[in-house]
Amino acid sequence: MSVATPSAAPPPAAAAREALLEVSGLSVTRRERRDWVKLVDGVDLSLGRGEVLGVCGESGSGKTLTSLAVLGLLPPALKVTGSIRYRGEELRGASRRRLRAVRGREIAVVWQDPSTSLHPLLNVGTQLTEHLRYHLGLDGAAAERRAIDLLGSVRVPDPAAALRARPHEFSGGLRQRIAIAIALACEPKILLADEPTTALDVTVQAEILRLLRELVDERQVSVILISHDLGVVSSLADRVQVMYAGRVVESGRREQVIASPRHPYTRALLAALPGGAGPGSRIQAIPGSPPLPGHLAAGCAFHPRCGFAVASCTSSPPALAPVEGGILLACPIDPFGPK
Amino acid sequence: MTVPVQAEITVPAPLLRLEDVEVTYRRPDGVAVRAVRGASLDVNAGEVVGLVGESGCGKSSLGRAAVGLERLTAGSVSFQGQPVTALGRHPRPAALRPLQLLFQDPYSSLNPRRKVGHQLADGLRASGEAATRARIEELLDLVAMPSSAADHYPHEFSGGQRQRLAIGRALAARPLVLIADEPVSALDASAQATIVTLLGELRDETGIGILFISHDLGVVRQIAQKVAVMYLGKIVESGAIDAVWRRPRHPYTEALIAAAPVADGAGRLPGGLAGEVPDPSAPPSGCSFHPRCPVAEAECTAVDPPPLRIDDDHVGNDRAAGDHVARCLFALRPAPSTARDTDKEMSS
Repeated sequence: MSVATPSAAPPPAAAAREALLEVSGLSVTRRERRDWVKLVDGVDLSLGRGEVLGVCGESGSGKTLTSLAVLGLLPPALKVTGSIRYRGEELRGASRRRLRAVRGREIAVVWQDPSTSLHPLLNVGTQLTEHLRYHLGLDGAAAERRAIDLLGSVRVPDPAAALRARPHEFSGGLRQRIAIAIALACEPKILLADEPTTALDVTVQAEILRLLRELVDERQVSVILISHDLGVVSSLADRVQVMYAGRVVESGRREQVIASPRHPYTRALLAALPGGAGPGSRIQAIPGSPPLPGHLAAGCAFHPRCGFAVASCTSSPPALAPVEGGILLACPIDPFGPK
Repeated sequence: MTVPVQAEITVPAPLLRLEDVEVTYRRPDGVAVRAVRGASLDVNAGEVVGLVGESGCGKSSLGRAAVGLERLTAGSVSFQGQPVTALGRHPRPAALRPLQLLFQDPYSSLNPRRKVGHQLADGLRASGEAATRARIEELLDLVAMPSSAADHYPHEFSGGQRQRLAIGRALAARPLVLIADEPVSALDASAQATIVTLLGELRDETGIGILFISHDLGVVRQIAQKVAVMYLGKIVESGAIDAVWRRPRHPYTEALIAAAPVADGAGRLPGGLAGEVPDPSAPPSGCSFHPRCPVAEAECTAVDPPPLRIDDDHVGNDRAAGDHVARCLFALRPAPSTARDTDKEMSS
């Protein structure tokens, strides 16, 4: 990679302990007539230096809202409670000015669809150097040199020419590389990647995942990888957090949560993937649909779709509690626990 | 599938047959782009044929040509023995009604301002049937939606449910063949599973034939009996899905299989495939895949590989197994790769 990281990177083992981002009790609520409807309910999340946290769940599980809340990008109509600490500094309720300084400079985002996240009328150079001028105060020539380095580091062919081209002149995969280059422009500590490969071909997806791995290894950047696809999460994440109906239902190390999941919902998500429930397995759809906010079932929100639900599942939402192996699990039935 | 097969007396004519289809677009600057460069494909009743490849490989153009939405520059498409010609501005002939197209994005393929029941009724009337409430409920039932869905608008449903409604609308025409162009790509994993399962059930119950277009060979394997892998306008490998998956003979197919991430918790990165689909207006010489091919040799830049018929070790009485064809000069090399050795169980 041609762009060097100025700060010396600590060895990965020590890095994991230093929490960069610490979210606790994060809730997002929306006013609906006379009630407050919870869209995200008490989410905890912590991210260490150089760590990849995978956040998984179906559409509507609150993955994206959680990340928007972290960035302070939710509209005022949505109420955010809880704490979002970045390197010890509370970001919830921080001034707009402070949040603008954090976004892009400290925490940068790669969105799902590079054909809508890039401005269609501005050339790539303008979009890339805008960041460098705003956050780093570089002048035109310096910003352009750095932009060329950045495009080279995400392996966009002929970076100098690419600066003068507009997004539509690139394929989807190259556009996503450009979006990643923009996100990396100010050497953020955290990259928030919201379904970064969902709009792409499998081959391009593989290349983008390999690029992200490289960035994590070489720059010690931390990544929050949001995806509905446990296969994508499995190939990149160190830790995995599974969300359902706005709550975290299982979290733990990748090899545990994905190789031997404990929550029936995590199992169901895996079984919905080709080969997810073991080699040669047939995919199985999860019965029913994810619930709409404000229409959650009483008790565990997953119980109407769960094959293991018992009467007690309808009483109160299960709390996320530690079980062996460092896993946090929100299922007192625990049908896949050790016998 | 790819090679014109001498008509075998016992096999009935396929419902949908594409022979040496070519589709050429003219770019605004006048340059001709051959999106499909001679592709042949059959879809029989009760059969799901997967059509796989990356964006820009021509699979959607071929799918659109199959229903008469593209003008062919060469080759032919026939449905139930009748030629399918480009529609232009003419109404769709009644004989083509049982050939239906299902689009990728259920957010844009349904009309947001009309209730689901009305849209299903449109489909029924357009195929000359009375739009009775009973028939609408029957369609909803076929796609596992409650009859109350008829009284709601598309935005009230999730992506997976909307795709089911779109399938319901296609079923209004009582199709014999459904061309499904990336029907699950816009959906999350569990909604994908729902739609794939539903299409599989429809195949089993109604004997419909489906051309299932997708960039994801892993998903295709869940539903298709046969597969055709397309690269830069040509079908580079085709055959029974199990034979192709077990031992792909084209390096491109191998790369597509290796690129699918595996949810095993091992933290393994999927295999990459460097580069992009080349500009179809200037295809590479020889084998179009050679610039990206990990095993290309000098002759690959000169010779366009002919289709080679592969004699798979027959497992069971797989009728289609003899149709395994690959366009790679090295397709007949003995045991070349270890691509799928890690999960031999897949073949069981």
